[in-house]
Amino acid sequence: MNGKCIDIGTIQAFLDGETTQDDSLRIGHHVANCDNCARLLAVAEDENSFVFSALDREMNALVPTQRLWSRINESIETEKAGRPFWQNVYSFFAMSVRDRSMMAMAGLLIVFGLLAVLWTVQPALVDRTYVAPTPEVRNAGTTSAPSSSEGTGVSEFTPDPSRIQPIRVSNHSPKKLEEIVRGENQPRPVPTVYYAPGEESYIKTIADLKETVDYRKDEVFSGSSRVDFERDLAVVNDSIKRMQKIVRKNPNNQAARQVLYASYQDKIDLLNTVAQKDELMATIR
Amino acid sequence: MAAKMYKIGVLLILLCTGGVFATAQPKTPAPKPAVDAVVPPRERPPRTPPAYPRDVKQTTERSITVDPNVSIKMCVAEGNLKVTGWERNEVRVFVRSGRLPGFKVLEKDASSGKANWLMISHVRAEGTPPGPMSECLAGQDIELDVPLKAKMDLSGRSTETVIDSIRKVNVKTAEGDISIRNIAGGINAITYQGNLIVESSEGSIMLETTSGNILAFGVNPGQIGDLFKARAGSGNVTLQQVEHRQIEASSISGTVNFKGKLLAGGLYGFKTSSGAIRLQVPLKSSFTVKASYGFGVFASEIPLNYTYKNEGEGGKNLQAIVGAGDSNINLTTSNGAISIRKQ
Repeated sequence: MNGKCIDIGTIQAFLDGETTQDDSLRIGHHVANCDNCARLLAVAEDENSFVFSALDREMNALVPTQRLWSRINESIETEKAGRPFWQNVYSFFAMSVRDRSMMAMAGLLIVFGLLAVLWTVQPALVDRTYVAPTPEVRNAGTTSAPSSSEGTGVSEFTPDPSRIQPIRVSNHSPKKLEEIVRGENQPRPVPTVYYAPGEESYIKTIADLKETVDYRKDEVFSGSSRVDFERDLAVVNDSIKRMQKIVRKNPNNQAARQVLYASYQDKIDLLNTVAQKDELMATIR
Repeated sequence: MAAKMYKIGVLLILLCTGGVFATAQPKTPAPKPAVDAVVPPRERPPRTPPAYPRDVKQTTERSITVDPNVSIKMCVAEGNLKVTGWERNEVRVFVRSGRLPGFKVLEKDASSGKANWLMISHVRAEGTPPGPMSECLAGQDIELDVPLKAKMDLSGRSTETVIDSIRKVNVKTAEGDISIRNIAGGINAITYQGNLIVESSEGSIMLETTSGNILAFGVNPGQIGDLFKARAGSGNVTLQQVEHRQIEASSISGTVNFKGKLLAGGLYGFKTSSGAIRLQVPLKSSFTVKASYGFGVFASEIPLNYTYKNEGEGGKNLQAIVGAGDSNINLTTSNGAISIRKQ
């Protein structure tokens, strides 16, 4: 060997390309003139070849892993493109939740939004209305007309604004109210009403006449005669109502039935006067 | 940083959008449009026009020769009407301060050639267009003299009517009192607001008033089977010396009074709803009484032999006989008092 031989570490560094350019030139000149160093370099190259051949399978195995990774990424991109909007929004919020400042801002806005909704909905939950105090009905005329569903004489009522008080329509919760309303809307069993023989024909006749009378009586009657008519009608209605109750209790009560029929006939006669007077006025025109 | 600002912006937009939707909900149900809320008014016929033009006022008198059994038809819009029978075969019309009357002969008697069906109506002046009530007479006073055997068919709007001494009357007025006497062949009188007075008359009689009283006295049937019927709404019905064998009298809230003798075989029906029924008959009368008086009461000064008497609530009734029970009385009231007193 010429000069000092090169140690195995430097030769291994030379083979790995880790030496500087000057060292690589110096080692190259030395190996060309030194048989020992050339033999040492050859041994070291053989060892490197063996190691690389052994690692070759592993090095080749990296290629399919990279491909697989690429395919995975492609699949993710495809899935992202086909994902619905709400999933993107969910992902966005999920990402946002990780940020504290974002969380604080979102919480503030949610509270504000809830307050706004409650403020808006609150009046609808508790409905308030104004109800005037019940007036006292006074009947004009000498004969007191009992109350009736079809009108009772003349009533005078002047509402006093100072006495008008707001009341709650209901103390039930909205849910309870909804249940009540639902229950009311359901069909109820129709109570069976007993009619005395021939009573239905009276009722039907009265219903037909009443339709006409309600339409015409404002035109036919003047003020005072209208009062008389309504008072008589109220009296008859009261008689019918009271006698109906008796007959419903005891259908075999002949006396009550006779009075009931008489009252029905009175009402028919009374209602007929409207039509007759209307007819008379028409002929005089 | 820019990405964070973008996220905040999106979040704000979403929340604000939600808030706007929530605020947009109405506090109370929105009122329906005015068009739906207003119920379309029902079509009503035009109101009754005024009685007659006040500017037309003249006093006139006209007459026409007629058949003794003439049937006269007329309508009166307004005024005091007086119809009197006389022995002439002539109809005379006198109108004070009113419309011009005229005669329209609807039919003549084949043998005598005189009018036996006559219409008395308003004669319009030439050039005057026909208007409402154009055929009805009107005036301050309207007087008619007609044959004693004449028959009157009268309709009126607002008239005070007096009819005396003719054969038969059929009168119907919207308002105003009607007084009828000395009618030989029957009466049919209706007023919807006013009193009805009938005296010294015969025949089948039907009287009706909606708000007013009915008074009949000295009335007899012209033939066997003639009916006397009186019906009042809120007024009283008073019958004195009514000698029909079939009498029906009713009032809703007024009192029904009957004073006179009960005829053998007679049928008497008196009915009220809340008014009283008062009978005043001779002590020695012979009748069978059936009474149904619901919630009312019954009392009799004449001793009664009860066939039955029920006092159940709302279903009170009785049947009783006095003497031989020759006449039948049916009394019905819902809430009134029934009383039988001796004359």
